[in-house]
Amino acid sequence: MFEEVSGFWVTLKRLVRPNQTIQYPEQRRKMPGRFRGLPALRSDPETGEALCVACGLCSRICPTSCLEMHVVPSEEGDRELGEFILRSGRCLFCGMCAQVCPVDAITMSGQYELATQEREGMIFTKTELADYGAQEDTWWGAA
Amino acid sequence: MVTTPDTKLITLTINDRNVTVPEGTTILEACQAADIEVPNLCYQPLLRPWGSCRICTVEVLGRRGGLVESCAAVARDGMEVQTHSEPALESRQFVLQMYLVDHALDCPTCDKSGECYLQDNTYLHNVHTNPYGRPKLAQEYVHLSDLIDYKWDRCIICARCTRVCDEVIGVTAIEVMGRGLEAEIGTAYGQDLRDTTCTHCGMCIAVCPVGALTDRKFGMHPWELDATQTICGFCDVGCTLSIEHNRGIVRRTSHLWERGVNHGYTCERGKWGYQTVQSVDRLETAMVRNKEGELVPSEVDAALDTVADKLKHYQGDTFAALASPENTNEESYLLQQFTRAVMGTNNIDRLVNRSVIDTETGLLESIGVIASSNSLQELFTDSHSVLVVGPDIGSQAPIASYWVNWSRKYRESALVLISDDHSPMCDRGDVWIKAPVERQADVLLALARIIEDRGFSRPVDPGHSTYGYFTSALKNVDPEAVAASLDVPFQKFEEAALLYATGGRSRMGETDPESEYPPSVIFSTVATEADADVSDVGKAVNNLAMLTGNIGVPGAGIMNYRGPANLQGATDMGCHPAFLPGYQSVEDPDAVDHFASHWSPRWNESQIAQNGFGVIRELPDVPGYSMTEMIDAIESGEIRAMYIAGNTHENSYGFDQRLLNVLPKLEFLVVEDSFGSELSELADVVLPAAMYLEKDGSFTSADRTIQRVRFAISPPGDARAHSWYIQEIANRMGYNLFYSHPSLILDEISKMTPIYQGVSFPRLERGSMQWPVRAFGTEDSPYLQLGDGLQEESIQFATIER
Repeated sequence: MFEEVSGFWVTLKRLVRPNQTIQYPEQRRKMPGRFRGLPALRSDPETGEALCVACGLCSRICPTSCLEMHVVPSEEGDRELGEFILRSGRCLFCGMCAQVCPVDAITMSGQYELATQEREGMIFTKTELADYGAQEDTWWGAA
Repeated sequence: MVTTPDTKLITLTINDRNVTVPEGTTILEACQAADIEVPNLCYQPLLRPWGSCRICTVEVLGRRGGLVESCAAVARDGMEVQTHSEPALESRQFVLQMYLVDHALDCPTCDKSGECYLQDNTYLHNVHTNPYGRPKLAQEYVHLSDLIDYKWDRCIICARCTRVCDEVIGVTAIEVMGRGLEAEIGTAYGQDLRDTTCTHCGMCIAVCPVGALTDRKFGMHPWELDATQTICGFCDVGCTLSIEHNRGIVRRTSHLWERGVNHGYTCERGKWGYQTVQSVDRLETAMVRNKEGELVPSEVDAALDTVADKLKHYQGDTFAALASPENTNEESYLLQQFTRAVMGTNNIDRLVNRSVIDTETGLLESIGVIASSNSLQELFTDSHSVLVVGPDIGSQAPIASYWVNWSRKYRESALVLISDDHSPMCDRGDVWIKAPVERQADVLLALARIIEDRGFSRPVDPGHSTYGYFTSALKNVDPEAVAASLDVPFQKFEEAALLYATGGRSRMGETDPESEYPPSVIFSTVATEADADVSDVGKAVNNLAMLTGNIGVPGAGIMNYRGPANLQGATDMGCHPAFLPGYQSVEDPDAVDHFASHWSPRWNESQIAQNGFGVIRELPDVPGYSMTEMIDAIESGEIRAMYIAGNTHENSYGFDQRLLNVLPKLEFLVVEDSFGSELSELADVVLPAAMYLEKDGSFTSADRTIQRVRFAISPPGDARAHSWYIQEIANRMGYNLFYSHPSLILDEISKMTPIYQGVSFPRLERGSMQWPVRAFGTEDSPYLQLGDGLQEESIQFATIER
C-alpha cells in the first residue's frame, strides 16, 4: 500500500497545490522588471510627453543596426524625433540602446509577443513603441 | 603669411626642436608649421589674433610669468617654447573647467558633438569636475533668422563669428552684446538677421568652435556623414566645397579651411545651394510634345530616338546649339564637337546674358583673350589698390568681395567702387562713386582723362596707333561735367583716379607721376548686369588698365566675374561661334584640319546618306552665329532647329530674354534643363538634366583655374548628365562617341587644346591649375604675361563711342 502511495506522491502533492497553468491568451503573465523584451519609448509619467531628445545614440550603438532614427529640427531650434523605426527581426535584445540613452527615453519593455505572419509585422514605428513604453519604468531601475 | 625673398627668417625652439619660420609668425603658427598641436578655440586662419579663449597658452622659458597666448604672441629669434609643460597644462585645464561651469553639456543633441573643439579639449585635458555647486545658468534659444539659431548656454564668447562677419564678409551683422556673464552674440537692437546687412552666408555657423550658432535645418551628427570635395556650381569664383551627405541626400556643406580659392569660406549660395539641387521641383522625366501639341512624359530612350530622328533633317547651318555655362568642361566640349562634327555648323554659343557677350567683345578687342588676366589670390600678395566696377560684387561674386575686403583691412590696399548698388562695401571703401550702369563708362573715361592729364599713363606700347586714338578721344571727355551730372563731388573723381594710378600711394601724399607705383587691380562684375548695354563699360575698364600699364604684372590686370559657374570653361571649350577649343580660330585651316582629322574617323562608315544627312569630312570654316545673332536668324527662319542646354534654377544668372520671343518660330527645339521654365515649355523634347553635385568633370573659374568637380549624390528620377545625352544622340545618328568617364574626354581636350596641355584628372586630384598650362609637368600661370597668354600685338585700346 505504502509503495503505491509513495509512487503517487508527486501526483498527490500537486492535487492539493494551487494551479500554476496560466490560461494564455486570456491570462497573461507579468514579466519580472528586469526582463528584456522589445525596446520601447518611455514618456514622462506626469505630463505624458515623450522623453526622447533625438540624439541618435541608440541607433549608433545598436550592434545589429536595427534602430533607425530620423531627426527633424523642432520649432524651438532643437532636435525632435521625426520617425523611429525598430526592425525587431534583427534585434538582439541586448539592451544597449536603453543603457546608452542619456535621458532614459528608451527601455526594454515586457513585451514578448513578437510572432507575426508577415515580415512587415517585425517593423515597429514610433507610435507603437511609445504605446508599449508609456507606463514602463526603466528596466534596470526595477527590482 | 606671405614669404618673399626678402622676408627675414628666425629660429626658435619648440619642445626642444628647432623651428625656422618667417619673422612675424605667431607662436601658434610656428607650432602648426612644426606639426606640434596646440589646442585653440578662438584662433581662425585669416582672422586677426584675438586671444580670448586662453587655451592656446604655452610656456616661454626664461620669461617672467612664462605663460603667453600662442595665437597672439609673435615668435622671436631664440625663443624657447614648451607647449605641454606642467604650468601650461595646468592653466589650460583650469580655463576649460571654467568654461564648463555654465556650458550646457547637451552633447548628445548638439550638432557640433563629434567635431567640437571644446569637447575634444575637455577629453584631452581630462576635465571632469565642476568646482561650483550651483546649477548651470541657462537662457532661451534665440532664432537669429530662419536659418541660424543662437544658443547662449553653449557659447564661449570667442568672437570668431563676429570677427569673421566683420573682417572677411565685411558686413558686421552680428556683434558681442553686453559684458561678463551677460555677454551674448546678437544683432543691433535685437533685430531679425533678415533685416540687417547679413548676407546669410552662414560663416558664423561654420567658424563656431562649439555648437552655439547652429544651422536650423541640420539634424544629423557629423560622424554619420560622408564628405565629397567638389566645386560650387553657382558662380564663377570656383569655391571648393565639402559636401556632406548620407543616405543619398546632402545634409550640409562644411568647410575645408585654407583650401581652394575660397580658403574654406563660402557665401550663401555655396553654403545652402545644395537645397536648390535637391529641390522637389526638379525635372525628373523626359517629355515629348505629342500630336495634340502637349508635352507628355516619356521614356528617356524614346525621347532620344525622337531627337536623333528629327535632328537628321537639320544638318548644316539650319541647326544651332546653346551650351549651358554651368555644364562641365567635358560636357561643353562634347556639345561643340557634336555641333561641329555631326551637325556640321559653327552655330554654337552659350546660353547667357547680352552683357556677357558685350563684355567678351570688349575683352577680345582690347587684350585679345576672353578671360580674367590675373588671379584672385594676388589680393593676398601683390595688389595694392582695387577698383570695383559693376553691380554689387558682394552678391555677384561674394568670395571675391571677401578677399577685396580682407585686402583692404589687412594689407591696407586702397578700395574704389563704381556701383549703383549701395552695399556695405561702398561705405568701407576709400571712394564710392554712385553711378547707374549706363553712366559707368563715362565715369571710367573721366578717370582715364584725369590720369592722362596728370601724366600717370604708362601704356605697354606708347607708339601704338590705338593709344593715339584713345588719348585724342579722351580730349572730348570733361570729368568735371561728368561729376556734376552724377551729383558727385569732382574731388572724389580725382581721389579715385589717383588711388588707382598710384596703387593707393596717393593716400600717403605720393603723387609724383615719375616714380614707380605698385600694381592696381580692377574687379569688374558688369557682365552680371541682367539686361543692359555694358559694352562701353567693358571696354573702358580694359582701357583704364592698359593706360596705367596694369597688365601682364602680378597683382594688376582685370578680373572679370561674368556669372555662371563654368562660363569660362564653356568658352575655352569652344562653345563660341568663332573659336574651336582653346581659342583656335575656325578660320585657321591648320586648326580645322587638326580637329577634322581627330573627329571625322568617329563616323560610322556604314552610314547611308538620307534626307540630306550624311557623313561630314570637312569641318565648317566660317564663324557661326553668336547668341544675339541667332535671335535674328531664328526670326528670319534661317535657323530651324536648336538644342539648348539650359541652366534654370533659382540662383541662375538668366539669359537674354529676347530669345524666348523667337523660339516658337523653330520647327524643332530640344531643351535640356534641371527645372521647368518658360524655356522648357516651348520645347518639343525636354530632357531632365543633372546639376553640379550629380556629375563628375572639371570647371574653369573666372580666373582660369581648372578644378575637379566630383559626384556626390545621384540625380533625381531619370535625369542624366549632359555628356550622356550627347553621346546617346550622336551614337543614334551614326557618330561614335563612347566615353565611359569624363576623364577620357579631358584627356582628349588636353591633346587638342594648347592652353589645356597637361591637364588631366590625376593631375587635378593634386590641386587646381590655371591655364595656359603649356605642357605636361610645367607650372601653371596665375597671371597672363606678355608673350605668354597675352600677345603684345593684340593688346590695343578699344574704341568707345560716347
